[in-house]
Amino acid sequence: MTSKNEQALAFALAAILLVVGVVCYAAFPPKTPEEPVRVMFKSTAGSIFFDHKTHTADTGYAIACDDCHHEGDEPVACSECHEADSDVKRSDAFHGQCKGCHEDSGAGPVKCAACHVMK
Amino acid sequence: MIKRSFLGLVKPKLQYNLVPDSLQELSVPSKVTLLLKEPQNGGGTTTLKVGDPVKTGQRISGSPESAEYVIASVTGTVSGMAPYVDGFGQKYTAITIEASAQDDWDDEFNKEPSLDTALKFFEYAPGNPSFKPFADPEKTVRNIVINGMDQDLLLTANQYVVQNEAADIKSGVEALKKMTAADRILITVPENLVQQATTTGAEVKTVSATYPNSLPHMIMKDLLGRVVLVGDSLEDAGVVFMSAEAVAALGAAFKTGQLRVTKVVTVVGKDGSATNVRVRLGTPLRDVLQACNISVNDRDRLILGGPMRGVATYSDELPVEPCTDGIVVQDEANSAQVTDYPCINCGECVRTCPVKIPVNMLVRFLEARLYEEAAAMYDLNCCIECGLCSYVCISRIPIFQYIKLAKYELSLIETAEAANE
Amino acid sequence: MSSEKKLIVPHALFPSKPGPKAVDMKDEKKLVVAHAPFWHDGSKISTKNYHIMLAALPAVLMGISQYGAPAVGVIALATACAMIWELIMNLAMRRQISIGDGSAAVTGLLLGMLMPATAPWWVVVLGTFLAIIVGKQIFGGIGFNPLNPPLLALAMLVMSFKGVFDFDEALLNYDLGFAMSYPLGQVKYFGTAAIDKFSLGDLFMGKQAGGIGSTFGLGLIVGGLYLILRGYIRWEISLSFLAGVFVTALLFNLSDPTKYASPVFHLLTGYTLIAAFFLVPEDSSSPVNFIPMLIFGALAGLMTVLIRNIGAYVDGIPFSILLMNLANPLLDKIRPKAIGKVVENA
Repeated sequence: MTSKNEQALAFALAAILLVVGVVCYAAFPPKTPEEPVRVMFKSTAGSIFFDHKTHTADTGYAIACDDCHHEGDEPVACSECHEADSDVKRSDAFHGQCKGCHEDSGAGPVKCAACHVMK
Repeated sequence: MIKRSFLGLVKPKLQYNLVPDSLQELSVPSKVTLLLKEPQNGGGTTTLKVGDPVKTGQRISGSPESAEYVIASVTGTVSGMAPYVDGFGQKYTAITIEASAQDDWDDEFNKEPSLDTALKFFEYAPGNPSFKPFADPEKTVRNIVINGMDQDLLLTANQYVVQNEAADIKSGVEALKKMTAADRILITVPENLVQQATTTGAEVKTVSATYPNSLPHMIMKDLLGRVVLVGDSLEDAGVVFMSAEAVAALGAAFKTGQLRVTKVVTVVGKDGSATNVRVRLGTPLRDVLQACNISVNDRDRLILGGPMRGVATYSDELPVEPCTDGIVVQDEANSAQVTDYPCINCGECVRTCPVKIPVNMLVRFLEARLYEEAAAMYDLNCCIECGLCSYVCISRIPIFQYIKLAKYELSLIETAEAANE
Repeated sequence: MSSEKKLIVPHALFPSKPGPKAVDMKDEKKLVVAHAPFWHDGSKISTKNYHIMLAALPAVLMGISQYGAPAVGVIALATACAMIWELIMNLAMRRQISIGDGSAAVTGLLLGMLMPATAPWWVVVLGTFLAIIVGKQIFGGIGFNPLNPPLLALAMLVMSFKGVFDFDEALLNYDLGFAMSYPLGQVKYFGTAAIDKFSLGDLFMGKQAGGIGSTFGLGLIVGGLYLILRGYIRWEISLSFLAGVFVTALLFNLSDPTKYASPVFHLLTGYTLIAAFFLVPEDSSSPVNFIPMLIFGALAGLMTVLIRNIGAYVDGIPFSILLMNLANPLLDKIRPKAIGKVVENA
């Protein structure tokens, strides 16, 4: 039932959108910021959604980088060193770092299910 | 063509044309063609031959034993006899009469109102009134509804008659009372014709001007509070419908002693302008169109009747028949086109159907040619043939055509079954 | 379509000249014979579909303004791929080319609107394949799909690639100046205390994480009202769906306000609004009679909140509606008695 005009319109639309789509994907991949905004830690006990920016920003908790990233000149990701079988296991490191700070400062979640989410 | 309104939430409201157009009297055409129905069972053909003279008002019957006849609408000589089959397979003999200048009236018709007279002379009156139900001993018809509205959009021929020939309708009503056993005669008119209708002596009912309210089944339901059940005819429900023009023709004939051999026809041109004309029955469409200055080109549509229920015909040489209320010429560019797209189940037809048929399901069965299932499960036979489902169909499926085809195929099956028994 | 008994339609039955019948075609006009009605209201499938795309535009533009070029990429690629899959299927099945009716484009656009801006290209290509071919074309194309194509594709993708449709994870790197955790996830895992940070006004204005075109409540409602007023979608389904969501969420909320979010929160988050106006009223997978439409919408709303509150998935949308799609043929049996119908007592 579609007329020739409609078909031509559809072909044109499909072609233009295809080009736009491919260009967007090829030329503008989603940017990864240098300093992460949020981090999703995954573990066997579920994922932990960590708002990095709120912890570091001056408007948030204004925690200095080296308070957590304690090695190296430039901050490195926690799991670079803390692996499942290293001296300080990844889980112990995180529990100590996150939960410890939350307990000390009396703010932030300390119960398991307040961070761990089994999706 | 009335388009979908911007606010599609509301149902489409197709209004009938209400103000009858003025009337243009057409002169006697040079020739007329009368279509004489052949009896269903074959039987004898007319004794009329080419070259025979006929008089105006002369009854031409198929054969002495046949009940089919036509009334000559001019005086002249028969110039042609040809077989003709219409779109539904009905066979006719087409009788062409060369008209002479003067009308010479046949005197067989007498002014005594009786059912026999009605059967013998008025079934070919303009509007094709049916008197057979009154003669059928198995039927008790006590009601006559005179439809003062036109059944299809654009047409105003019947309304013209109510407006201008109320006196003829009045004598027609009196004659009907004498001829039939009907004890209740109603006339249905739009609001603006109530005043004229009250002078006719029939009980006046107002019908709203929205399509399809003037279709007989809708009048039965809305104004008489009776629902015609599937399988029943209107006569089975005790009501005979006649057009206002037919009753006026009846009245005029008994007043003057001359049968009415003219028909009021609404002619609608390509630009939608409508005029009413009065023509002799059997006038070729070409003559009518010429008189109205309407030209027809290749690929146009020439529609007998109105835009919702009419029949697009193939030749402008076909004649005006007693049931031809309108002639609509539609330009190719304006004509609705159908497609073979499938139903997308939008439900527009279901909401617009005046008798609540699940058209979305029905059309699926009809497309698959499951006619008996369609009738048994999806209310095929409830359809009153208004055409609104096709009008609103977004896929432009010829739903109305499917329905008519299904009914036709079912009737063939029924006929075959009856013949086997 | 032809009747079995051929009808005889004589060509030139009425010779213009008396005497032996001579068919003089020079004079004959070739008129077009057709069946009534000769009028049509002018509606067209393509018009309808392009209007649906138009109505979806505010929500899409909001998504693009938030997520930028990657959102354009997903939307454009999804729309284009959907049309291309349909074209491929048309050619493969040797049927008439049907992309002109806009239905494939609408399917692609809606699927794109449901996706996060970071959806990888292969998810888009695969998703449109599932929507167009598995969801629609293998059933016979437009009008024959028993399930809503974009939702079928979404359901399959959500189950296959959890991470892509976990909006918390998918949108990790975006900082748009509002709380970027996925509202439905927050309430599901942490209770209503965790959703205090979302103001209803922000949610309504699209300041929430979610699919590209499914977060801007105002835009979706404006588009939906436009479609309802123009008669392109059935208001009964949209409104009963919203009512179903509202009432069910209200009952849950009353039973335990610390665990279950308020009904308005449920209306403004997840896929609720895009579903109400663009997905639930999809033509071929939803009923057409009045009462079935109300039941269909209300039950879909009920199922949505049930899955959200006590089911396994964060958002119940694709599954609740797909489930009701399956019930559609049964529901549509509830219909008014046709006038004149004779009911035989069995």
